[in-house]
Amino acid sequence: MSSKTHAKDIGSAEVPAQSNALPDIDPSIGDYVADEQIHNAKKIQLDKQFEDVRASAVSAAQYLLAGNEVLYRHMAKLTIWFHSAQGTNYINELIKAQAQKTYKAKVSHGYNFAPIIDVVWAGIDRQDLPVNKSNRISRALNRLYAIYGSKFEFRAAENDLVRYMVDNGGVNGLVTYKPSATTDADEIPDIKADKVIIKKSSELAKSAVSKAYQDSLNYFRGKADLPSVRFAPDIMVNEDEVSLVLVSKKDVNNYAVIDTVIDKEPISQILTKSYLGHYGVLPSAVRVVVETLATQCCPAEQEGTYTHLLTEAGKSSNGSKKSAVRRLIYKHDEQSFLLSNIKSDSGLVTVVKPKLEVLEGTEDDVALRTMSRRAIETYMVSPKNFRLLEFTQSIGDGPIPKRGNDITHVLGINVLTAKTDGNDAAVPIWFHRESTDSQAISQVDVIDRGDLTPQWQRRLKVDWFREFNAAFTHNWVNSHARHINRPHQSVLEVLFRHSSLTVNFFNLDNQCDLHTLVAVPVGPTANGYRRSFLSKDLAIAMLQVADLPIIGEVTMALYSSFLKLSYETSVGHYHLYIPAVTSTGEPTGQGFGQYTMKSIITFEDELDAMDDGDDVGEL
Amino acid sequence: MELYNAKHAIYLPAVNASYVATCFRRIPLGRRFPEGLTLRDLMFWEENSLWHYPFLLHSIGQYRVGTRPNAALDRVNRKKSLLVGDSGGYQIGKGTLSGLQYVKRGPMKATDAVAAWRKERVTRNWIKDWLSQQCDYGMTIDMPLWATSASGNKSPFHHCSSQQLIAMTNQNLRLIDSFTPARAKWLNVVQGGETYLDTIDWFRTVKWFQRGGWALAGSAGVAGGLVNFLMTVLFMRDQEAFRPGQDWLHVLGVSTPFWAVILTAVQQQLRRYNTALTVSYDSSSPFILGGRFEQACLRPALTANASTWAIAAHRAPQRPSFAKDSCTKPFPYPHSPLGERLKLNELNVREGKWEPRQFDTISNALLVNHNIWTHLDAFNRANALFSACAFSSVPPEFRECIELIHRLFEYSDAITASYELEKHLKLLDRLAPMSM
Repeated sequence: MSSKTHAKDIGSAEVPAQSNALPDIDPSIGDYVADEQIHNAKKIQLDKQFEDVRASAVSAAQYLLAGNEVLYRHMAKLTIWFHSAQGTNYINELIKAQAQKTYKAKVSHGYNFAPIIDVVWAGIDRQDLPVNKSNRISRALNRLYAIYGSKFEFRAAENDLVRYMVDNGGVNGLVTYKPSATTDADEIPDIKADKVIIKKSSELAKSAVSKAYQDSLNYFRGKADLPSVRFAPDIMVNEDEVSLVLVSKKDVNNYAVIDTVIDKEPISQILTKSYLGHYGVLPSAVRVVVETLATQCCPAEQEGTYTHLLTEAGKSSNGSKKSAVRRLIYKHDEQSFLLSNIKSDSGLVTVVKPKLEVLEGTEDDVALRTMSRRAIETYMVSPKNFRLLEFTQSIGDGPIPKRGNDITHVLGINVLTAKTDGNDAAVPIWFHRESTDSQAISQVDVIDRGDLTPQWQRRLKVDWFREFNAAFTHNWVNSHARHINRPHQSVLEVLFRHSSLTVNFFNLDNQCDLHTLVAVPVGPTANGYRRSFLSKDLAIAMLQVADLPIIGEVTMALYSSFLKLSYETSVGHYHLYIPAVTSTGEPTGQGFGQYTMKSIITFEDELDAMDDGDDVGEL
Repeated sequence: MELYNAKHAIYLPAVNASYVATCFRRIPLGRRFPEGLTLRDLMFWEENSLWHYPFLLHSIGQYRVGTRPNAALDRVNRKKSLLVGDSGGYQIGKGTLSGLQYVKRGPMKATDAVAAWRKERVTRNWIKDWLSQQCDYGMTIDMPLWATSASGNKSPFHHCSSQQLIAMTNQNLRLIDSFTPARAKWLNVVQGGETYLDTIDWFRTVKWFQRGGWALAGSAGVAGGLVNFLMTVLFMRDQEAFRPGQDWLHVLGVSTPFWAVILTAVQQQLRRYNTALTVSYDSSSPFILGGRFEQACLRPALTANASTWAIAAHRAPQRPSFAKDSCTKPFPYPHSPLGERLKLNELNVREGKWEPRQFDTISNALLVNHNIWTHLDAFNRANALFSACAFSSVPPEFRECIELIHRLFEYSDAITASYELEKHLKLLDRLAPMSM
């Protein structure tokens, strides 16, 4: 609006003073006053009808045992009444006024009739009657209402509806179930998918505890090679003859018993976790994939807090948010796996040199499909229910078999979640070649040729990581991580010292109020180093390393651009890189680059490429 | 200095539901709290031992349709306060009012949006019932014209025409007129749109509804800048909108010392036509700053430099070391009655290495109380400077603007006044430009 037009505007606005008469009603807008009057009249009518429905419920209660037809008549009346009330808020108000609890308006099978049934049958003892199953009756009424519209065109057809029900199997004939919808995982960024994964895997892990308890008990009872300890006096055990013993180390080979726990719940959790999460039961090639994905995937027990660690990858050049997606690729030339973010400049990087052939006869770089990665994370990596798996093809210690040109390697896994949640799930491991039709996707890679000298380095037992997590990571994830996006919580400062590692956090005005110190083996020099990392990167890395089947010790080495954790398992050598950042969380811009997959262009591809060119003559 | 002065336009703190609820809580056992005070003392609108200010605004738009707004604000529970109720037109326009059944989020086809709002009778009744029963003044249910503008591109009513929005508003008025008791007082919302003619169209349609006063919103109010605002008021004066009985003019969504003195000048002029007339204005700034951003307002210096008339805010000190019992540091902004009694460890109450925040909801309420007082004090001091003709302490352009307002009302009609106004467009647009 231009300020200069005001005088003209006002001059042209002929507003009669004192014209306070009601303006005409625009029919396209409606007449709210008339609507209200109609509503009030309709309410009186529906109240009367409702009383009739209520009375029919009473009749039904009395006569149900005499024949199902009375129930069908009641349902027919209810359906017709329901239709009469459409377009009004009568039913909602009725439910709100009379029901003592809240309901979902819509459920998976359509409209939720359960609250109407509860209101209609309020005060009538229906414990032993079919209408006791509100969900079932609601499904039947949804179907009946649909039939009422399609077959009887919503006319007064009470008798017809009753007859229809009699002829079509009554309530049973109306109740239908439909399978749940599926979604395309490839369309969903990790920040959203990870939330679903962690929730599902947490459910699976929790469910497996109760189902696999007996198996795990039998397994450990029959396992002859477990180390044994003697306690004096005797330790109390439960009816399964197991207990948790809390000990405190006094000196070498000497422990003080602090407490014993015989409650089934904590015992079963630990027992089944040890039993089901045994990496050794996996085929070696699959194990490499699982162990690699595990370095950047959250364990199921962190559900509820893990989502705080998920962040967008950053912003694109046009300012819109970019959603990070992890990708696992096999670099053919280097015979190594790389797991890192695509569409991003930063994030954790995992590099793996397998000790065995993982993918049969590769010729160029291949990538694990995102859909496969998420399925593996959901059903295998995160819940670690490895003993509940069945493979469609036995590969033993061999590689994942080769299949074709685009989808290069395939292995199907059947996850026996029937033991846990009542459904089996198929987890396809699919590797594929990147399409040469579109621009290559780059992903974060580390620049580490092995010629760098670490500034600070220690060899640490896996138990050290468990101690570190008990002292810091678990507590931090469950508290400060809730505000991880605030500047003073998004970065952790770590002091690498002669005999300790200190994490400084809650950094406000360049002053950290809080810190946690964990001792490390004494190093050769007294030099100390200070480095900052994104909180989420450090937390995820530390949580995971403590949970992996590592042989020997982990080398923690500090370089100017990253912290590197190196270890081996029986199937591979792993290097996990945690990028260093500035005190404000900005990438240092050093130590990392971008990698694009190398694909061999086949003869057919070359022909296609030449067909597209202008200067290519006839072959 | 008294916070309320009948000669000044009245600031209505837009109290949110969370603040009201906190005032009615009990202080958890062991929680440090300023000595001699209770949470009820933060309920500034009733008499208490901290400070009292008897005006507030509360919007029903922050509740879910059908739920009851906090009973602490019911007439029966208020002894010393005047409550102006907002109808939640903003949330309706945005489509974000929780519990709407038919109006969807995001732009709808115009005819669908019109039909959907027509069906929302439960929402309309819920709004009108609370406003008429529990508030001293209720704002009418407006369908804001900004929904049609670029900034309203996510509104369910984005594709509606101005005429449709005005017609729906008029239907809302008819409903209110037909189904609320005659004693209920209403502020008839006047919206502005993308052109000044929209304001005139709107006013022409709604002016029949005169049950207490007016509320200026959108570009008819501060969003239109000083020029449009003044033209709207002058135009309404010409239409005899402020005759006795129409005793209240509310301006939505502003809280700066500059606007405080502007609105006082407008009130002074309009009282020539209606001695009982009150001009008020509201904002939720103290609540957003203290509750969401955890910021404490600073006392503006109010000198001849216009930049000293802004109410700045700093992040309130929050860190683990302040949550210790032994911390004796005072709150660094002691200018408010609460600020001078508050210690940092009464704001920072969650101690422990694994406490991610040191504030609790009571800490936020304490900050809000400080912020409201800071706003009221700033408006009061700003008005006092003009009342006392302490012109050496006010920016010359502010003084020029106030003098212009007084002159504009000397003209017998808005059209003639607009010629005088046009001579000062640069000044007015610089001080308060259009923001739509």
